Amino acid sequence: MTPRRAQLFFLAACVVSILTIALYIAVARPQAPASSPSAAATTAAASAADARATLISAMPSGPIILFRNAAPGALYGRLAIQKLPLTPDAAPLIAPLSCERVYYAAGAGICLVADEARLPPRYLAYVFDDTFAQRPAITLTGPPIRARVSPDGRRAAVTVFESGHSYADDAFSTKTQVIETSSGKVLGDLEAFAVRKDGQPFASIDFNFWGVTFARDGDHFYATLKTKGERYLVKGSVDARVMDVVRAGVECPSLSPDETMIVFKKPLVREVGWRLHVLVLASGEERPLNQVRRSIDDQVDWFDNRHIVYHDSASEGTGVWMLSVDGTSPPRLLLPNAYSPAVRQ
Amino acid sequence: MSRLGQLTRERRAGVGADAGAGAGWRVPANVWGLGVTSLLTDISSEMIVSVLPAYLVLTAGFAPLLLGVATSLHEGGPLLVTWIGGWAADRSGRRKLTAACGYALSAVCRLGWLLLPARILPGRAVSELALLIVSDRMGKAIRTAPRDALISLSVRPAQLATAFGVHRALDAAGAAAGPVLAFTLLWHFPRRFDIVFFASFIAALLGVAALLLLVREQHPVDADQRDQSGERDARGSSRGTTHVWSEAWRVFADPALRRVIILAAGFGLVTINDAFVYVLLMQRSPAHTHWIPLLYAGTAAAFLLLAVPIGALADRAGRQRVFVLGHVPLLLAYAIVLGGAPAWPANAILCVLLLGGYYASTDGVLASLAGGLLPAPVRAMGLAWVDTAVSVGRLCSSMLFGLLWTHVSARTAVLTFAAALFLIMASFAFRPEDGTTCTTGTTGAPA
Repeated sequence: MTPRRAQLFFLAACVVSILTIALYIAVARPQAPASSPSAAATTAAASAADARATLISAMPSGPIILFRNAAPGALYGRLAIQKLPLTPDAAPLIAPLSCERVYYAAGAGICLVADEARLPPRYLAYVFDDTFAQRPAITLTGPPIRARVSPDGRRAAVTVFESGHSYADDAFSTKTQVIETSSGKVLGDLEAFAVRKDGQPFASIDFNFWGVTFARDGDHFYATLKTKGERYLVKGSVDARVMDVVRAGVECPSLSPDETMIVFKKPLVREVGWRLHVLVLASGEERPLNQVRRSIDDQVDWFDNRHIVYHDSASEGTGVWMLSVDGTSPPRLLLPNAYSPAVRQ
Repeated sequence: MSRLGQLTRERRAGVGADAGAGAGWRVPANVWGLGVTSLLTDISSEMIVSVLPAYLVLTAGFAPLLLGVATSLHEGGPLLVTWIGGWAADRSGRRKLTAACGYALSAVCRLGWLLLPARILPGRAVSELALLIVSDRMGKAIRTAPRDALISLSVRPAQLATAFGVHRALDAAGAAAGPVLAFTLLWHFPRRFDIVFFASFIAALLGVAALLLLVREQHPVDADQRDQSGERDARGSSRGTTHVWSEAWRVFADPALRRVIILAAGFGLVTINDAFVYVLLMQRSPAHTHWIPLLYAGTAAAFLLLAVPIGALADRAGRQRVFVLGHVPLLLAYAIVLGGAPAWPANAILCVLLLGGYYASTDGVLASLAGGLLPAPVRAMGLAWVDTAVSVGRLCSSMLFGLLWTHVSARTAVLTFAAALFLIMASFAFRPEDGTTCTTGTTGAPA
């Protein structure tokens, strides 16, 4: 083939390529989830799971566990609910909301939304009620990572990454805001609250806060403060806009319903990762949970006063796992293909 | 070397008739063909790389930690496969075919991305994703050395750095265009990652077509007569009986090449990964991390604009000199990161220009420096060595920098790297050029 002919062939190949891409766009059906009902047909398993799901328009009564549905198919990413106690093979109830991270308590929920398929990506948070009616959305400044609602349903807290996309990245910074659920408005940024350590004012420009967990009164809370490489547990009050440093080495605390214990993730010393630990508040005693060998990166939720639930991706299955805090039994997979659990007993 | 002489050689080597018609910047059609191949392949791979985080987290439901694992698999890649690519190309003498295998392997992987979503089962898909990413990188490792050998065999020795400049400019154009195309597609068709994957697959196929249709195999016997001494010919002709490791060792034994390898590894070791530079820059500015992809695109654009003029300069002023002094912009970029420069966004624009200038005066120039030293029959293996040296240097640098950042501070880490870079520049800046121009084709003695 002469060079001239080869060049012509190549030009023809370019034209054919562009036409092929145009043809694909014209005829190919969307494979992306939640785009059209036909997307459910992408896998037999997914469509079977979707077909069994029940669509709901109001929060069911009685004990429930809420989560983000992570099963592939058209319902991927939707807020899903299972009634408690769980029955084997029970189909999930699917709410008309799609959330990246979600939490719910006492008639108020918080839903964090990430639309990263656009440039620049958009991140939003909104409060919803028992009929899934949404309050006006709040614009977030980065990818959402943690969400919590106080047990009385009065307040919600939201954490986003401002830079960096993982806690494992040492250069990350976070932003945590407290929201009033009745109005859906932001009450304040934790970085604007006063901080005390050993009774003295404590301040540094590198303060980062994340992982709020509320007490029953809806005012007091625990959270993580990171400064100069150290992670502290802080206890604060939203009304007084103040926080006190309680102890070091604590990340993503979660307060038990009876307010006697905190389960948190403790950074590993020599590797990137975390182990779940429990802290008994009265005695200050701290011990590891037998979460087996893996690293867990989640803010856990309490199932009851003796069990916790959290997300984990393991070879045995990805989803919400359950573990007892007395350290006697190994973790077990509670809900496969589920993320961001919240329990209402 | 006369223009007539060049023209005759180009004809004998079977490359385009337009070569040699113009001034110093004109390069043979083969170089353009390889450039177009790289342009299309880079469009294809950067389309995937730029949407991968969003795709894995949004659609595949990946935990961010697994995303980190996927990214490091992508960065690390299988280093030793580079040698196998170089060895296969030298031994068979079929550089084009060897490179085509590498390009084809990556193209098949693009098809894998398209087929994967339909069967993703969280938890199980991790190993499939890892296999895809590693195979894709293997394709890149296989093709790099044969391709660079082919570039260097397609031009007169006096034009080596210019030719690599043209190739790297086209390569950078692909790297800049890929993310833009991907985001344009996603903008019009939200969440339709399958369209991005399909377009990426087609672009990869077109890249293979460009290689097969626009590039001609170069025969080392022809090319070797151009510039190499008889001693090297004799050594080169004993090829064909060894296996990959002993061949690698034999090439390494050449003192001139060994110097280039040490140069490459040494500078690689004191180079801070772009990702760190951008993150540090962002930390000092009010801007959002969303800008980071734009910084990559900006750097690629600056690289694209500067690659050809700086390549031409290297051919005149000496490749090693340009390579060593090409780290001055990098040093200035470190100074900006440390805060010694204007505020956002001027510091980012300056940083992007400096990094582009650094790439333009080091990346292709290093390949031309090594290419000019290597006898044709072992050129791909020698280039594989240099490539490996740079990769190992940079891998160690990233780990060292990460350690320093974690355990001391970012400032100390940058200062340490800047000081080390300055020292290594100073130690090479006053060394004589070794056989880097066409007139000194002899084996350089260790300085």
